[in-house]
Amino acid sequence: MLMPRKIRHRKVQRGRMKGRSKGGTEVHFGDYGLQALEPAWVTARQIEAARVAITRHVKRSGKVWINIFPDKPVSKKPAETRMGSGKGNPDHWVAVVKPGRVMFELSGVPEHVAQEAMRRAAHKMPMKCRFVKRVTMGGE
Amino acid sequence: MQMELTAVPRSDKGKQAAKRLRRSGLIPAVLYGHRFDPVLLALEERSFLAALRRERGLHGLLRLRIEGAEDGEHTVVVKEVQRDPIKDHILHVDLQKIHADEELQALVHLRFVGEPVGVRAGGILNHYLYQVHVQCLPKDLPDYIEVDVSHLNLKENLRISDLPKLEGVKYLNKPEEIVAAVTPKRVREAARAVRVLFEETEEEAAASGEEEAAAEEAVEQVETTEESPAEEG
Repeated sequence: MLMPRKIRHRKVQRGRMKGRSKGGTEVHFGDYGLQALEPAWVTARQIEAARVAITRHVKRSGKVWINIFPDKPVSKKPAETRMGSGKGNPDHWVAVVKPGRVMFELSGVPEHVAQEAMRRAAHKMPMKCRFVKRVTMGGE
Repeated sequence: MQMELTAVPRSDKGKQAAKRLRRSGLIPAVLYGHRFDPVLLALEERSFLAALRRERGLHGLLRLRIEGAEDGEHTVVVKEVQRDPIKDHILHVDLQKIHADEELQALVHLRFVGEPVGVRAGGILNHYLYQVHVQCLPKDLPDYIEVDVSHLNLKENLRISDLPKLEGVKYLNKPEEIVAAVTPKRVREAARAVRVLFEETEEEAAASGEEEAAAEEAVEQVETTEESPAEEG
């Protein structure tokens, strides 16, 4: 699973997910993409599950890009612990995703295959998503 | 034939004015250029979208007519189209006025034609560049550049230096930059599929001996680049 190699702070505050994604809103590398329509924290497990869903569906024939990285640690207190006594221990890693972000890209497969692969990946995501294609200035 | 766009000048600027404009079915735009003072414009959204849907779309040179302005005819190129990432509405358009005697730099789309030999042999065609930077006189600016990839075999690259030489057009990308490449599939089934494919088409391939040799070579390459299925995790 994806996680940072080196970190500056073991625990961070939760933050807010206001507004839309500032960048990464277009399909840059591949021909097709999966775009987030809602803000959410995407865990490293969810990213991996989506990647496996895509690669299995395209029978590892296309090329997949993952444009998000889980660099935010999420802490959790152990079960049946009383409140207090400080912040819990780091439990897992998440990527903060805002609406508009193209999370996965795919190329080297026909459109209907890409659509189905992205539909399967969308089921692993914690937010509403949609299938997007590369934008060109003509023939749309 | 050059596509024609019609625009009206606008005086209001800022976020609120732009929102009002969009609500009334217009797109805020700006026209700028060398030796030319920028002009704020509004384009009709419906006609702009109709132009986008044409096959050649908004590539190459366009003729812009500004209603109610002296010297309202300009030859322009579309520099940037800003879109809402979620609703897909067009938010703003940048137009650049060009002079017939000055070279311009522009991004030109590549159109890939043909099915590579390597793809028929079970490889994947990867595109690394979809558009290239070119410098040329306005009259030489192509709408798009057609690139034939049918000769690409497995593990072969198409570089900027391999693109078709167009008269008066200079590529600004580095000559060694890769445009497209055919890479072998990473699956064991690929080798089997290739063998089946070529057993079936053996009779057809017999007509062209060269192609057959290339395909057999490709099969060998696929088999040697197999990876273990445990890699998927």
